[in-house]
Amino acid sequence: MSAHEPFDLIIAGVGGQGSLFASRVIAQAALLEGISVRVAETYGVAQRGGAVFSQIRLGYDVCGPLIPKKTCPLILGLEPIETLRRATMYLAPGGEVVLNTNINAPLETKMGRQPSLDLPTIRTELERLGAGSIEEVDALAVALEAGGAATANVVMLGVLSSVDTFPLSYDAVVKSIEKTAKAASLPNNLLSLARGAGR
Amino acid sequence: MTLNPTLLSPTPEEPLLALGNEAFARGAIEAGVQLATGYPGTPSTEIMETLIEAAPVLGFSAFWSVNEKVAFDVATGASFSGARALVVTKHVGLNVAADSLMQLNLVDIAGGLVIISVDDPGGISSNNEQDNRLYAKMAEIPALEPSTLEEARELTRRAFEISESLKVPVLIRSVTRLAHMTSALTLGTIEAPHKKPHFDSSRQWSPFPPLAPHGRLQKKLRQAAGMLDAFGVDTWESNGTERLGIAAAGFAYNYAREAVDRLAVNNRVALLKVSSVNPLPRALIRKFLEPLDRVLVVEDVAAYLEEGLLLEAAAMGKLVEVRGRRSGALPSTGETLPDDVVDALDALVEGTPPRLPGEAAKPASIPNRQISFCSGCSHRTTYYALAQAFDNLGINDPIVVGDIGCYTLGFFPPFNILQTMTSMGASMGTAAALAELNPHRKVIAVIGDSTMYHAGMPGLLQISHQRLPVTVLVMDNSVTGSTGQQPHPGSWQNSDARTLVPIEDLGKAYGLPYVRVVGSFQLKKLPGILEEALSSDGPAMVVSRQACALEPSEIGRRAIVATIDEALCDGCLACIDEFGCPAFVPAADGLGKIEVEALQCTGCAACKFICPPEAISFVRRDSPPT
Repeated sequence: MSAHEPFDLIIAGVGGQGSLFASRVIAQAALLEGISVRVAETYGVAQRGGAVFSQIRLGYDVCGPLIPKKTCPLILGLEPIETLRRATMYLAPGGEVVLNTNINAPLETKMGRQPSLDLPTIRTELERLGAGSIEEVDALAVALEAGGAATANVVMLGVLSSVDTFPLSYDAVVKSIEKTAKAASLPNNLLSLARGAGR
Repeated sequence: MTLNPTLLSPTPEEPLLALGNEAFARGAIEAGVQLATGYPGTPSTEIMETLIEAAPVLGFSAFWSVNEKVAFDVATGASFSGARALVVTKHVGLNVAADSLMQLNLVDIAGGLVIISVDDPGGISSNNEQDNRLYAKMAEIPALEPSTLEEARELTRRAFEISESLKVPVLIRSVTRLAHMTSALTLGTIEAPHKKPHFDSSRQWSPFPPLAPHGRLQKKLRQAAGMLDAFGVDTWESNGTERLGIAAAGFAYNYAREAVDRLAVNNRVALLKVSSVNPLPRALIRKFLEPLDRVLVVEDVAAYLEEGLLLEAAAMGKLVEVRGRRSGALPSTGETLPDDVVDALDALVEGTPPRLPGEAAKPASIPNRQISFCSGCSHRTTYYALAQAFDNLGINDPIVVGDIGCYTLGFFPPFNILQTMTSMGASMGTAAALAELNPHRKVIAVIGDSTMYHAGMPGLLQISHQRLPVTVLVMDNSVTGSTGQQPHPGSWQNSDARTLVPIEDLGKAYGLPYVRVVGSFQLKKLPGILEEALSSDGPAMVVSRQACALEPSEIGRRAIVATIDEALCDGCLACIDEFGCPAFVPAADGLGKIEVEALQCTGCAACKFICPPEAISFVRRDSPPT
């Protein structure tokens, strides 16, 4: 697709996973490529462990920051339960899901006081919602190989940048990370990005 | 948040990535703002945070005030000195400053005075949704409503121009989705430093007597119409043949345009964007309405523009169907959502009756994520101690009055302890009457430090003066916590040479007979102090003090981490069900015991005494738990 056709993307995760950093990197990469971008973030009161949800809209002339229901072509899932939560409302039929397989269950679920969801169930549910493809990545394992758990979000950005329909280039994402990340963590971030992208 | 240095660049550069709130801050900087103040409140906070960081670099004054009325009055003093002044507030904060607004509007001010009000449609981070455009109407002051980051920056500049040239305060209305939208921002040029402040003593600065100034104010508003028209902030997109129209106020323009594009009805629907809130662009509205049969109005919270169009149509003697939040074509509550606008526009185009969206089907099978106090949060331990004090004294029907802040989570599990909460500082007055009318029950008012300074102090004075048996429990975490740890007059971390005014000094000065300060993590001591306070006859104050766990000097401060002795843990779940620290989780082996998530634990050690079988101990963080 042409880089300037409108494209929507959702990032779903929980607090502490660096999903706000991931959306910032994408927005900055869009700016570097001269593609219009609008990002809306929704996050709860709690610093850690709350649901975090970014809506990223690329290449529009004028648009609101909120993505219409059932129209999102691509969801970057940093956490599987949160991915299913957003996919239920926003995923377009045939839409793609890039999924970090590391489940972070809410406490009440760990306590057995509300239903739990395992990966096969989440996969089945995403298929039932009409997902066109589900690419599963153990981002934590890849990040640990690349130098630390903290860059699992960047591993996922790497996977994202290798998705065909994603309108931003790998190079733009690299440049954006160079601009966005702190200097000390830059080598780890770039290595994680490359591993995620299979480079 | 950290300041993006590009926001201080004197001349236009490449577009930068910015938050809506940063665009407003840049607009004020470009206008040569000399004094900026406000009180923290989501979703407005980042405007002042940006300005506070920019101020020392650019040489203007920016600081937090103790509440919005004080902020407004401070800005008033700046304007009377001829300086350009900015007040930043969330929607409810303007209620606090309204008394001042409704009288300053009648005074010929000197320096431009601009109020940025960030409304929170849908109450995403608030107790209510309210539409502060109605304040502009009531105060009869000019008001603007930007739709993009560019407009946020540009209209802030314009607002200063209008304010200064007409000598009247100007309101800018923003909304959450603009305030917290990240997008590209193009910069304008920073104006040369404004004239040096000087207070002119040769005249009086007062609305008294009010009648003549009221007429003068209305004349200013008529002049504002001309200025707004000249700025061209309102736009009318039409090919001259449409019988249908969509009108959008401020940020809602984005939803309107998107809906028109999505339905590909550009040739059939005229589009009116209204960024002049007060006065509305009457001439343009007439031109827009003239050829139309049906109009959809898109706006956030109130049917302000919708009613404006209805009035204008009536005044023109024009028969036109006006649809919107008032008519029921769009939901009358909650933030504007793109799908609702598309549905309403589709019905408008089809000429079918508006269909209200049904209840969204809630996916039943996805587990919720409950919010809780952070690990290392002092509110948790204070509520835990309060529950213990009730138990120890056999109080089973206390009345616990809450206030606004993170501690409002006391309404939820595991504490479920709060029973009322309305507005900032309301706990004081509410508790006063509850104590008087329920003499056989114990009344506790729970209030945060920042909230006490903000609006609790007058009510505290009244409790003391009336000698009412209220236990005032101050959850003092040293900062305005829930909005991101902003400092206030009791913030001891504030290293600059300002006078610290600790809460307990207020209690003593107000004559409360019982005032105690205790560390929030001291769970051996805190319940006993609360019991003393609850047992006293008159008003009592307990300050439970411990810095917010997210306060920068607290993060990573402790070198220990909690650990659980598996042999001692009996799986009683007291650490989860009574204490509720997120660092405690069911052990991975699934045998019903508990383990500590080391990355979550802050090492506050407040849990030392909460474990009945005493299975919790602490180890140095650098040595692995055994």
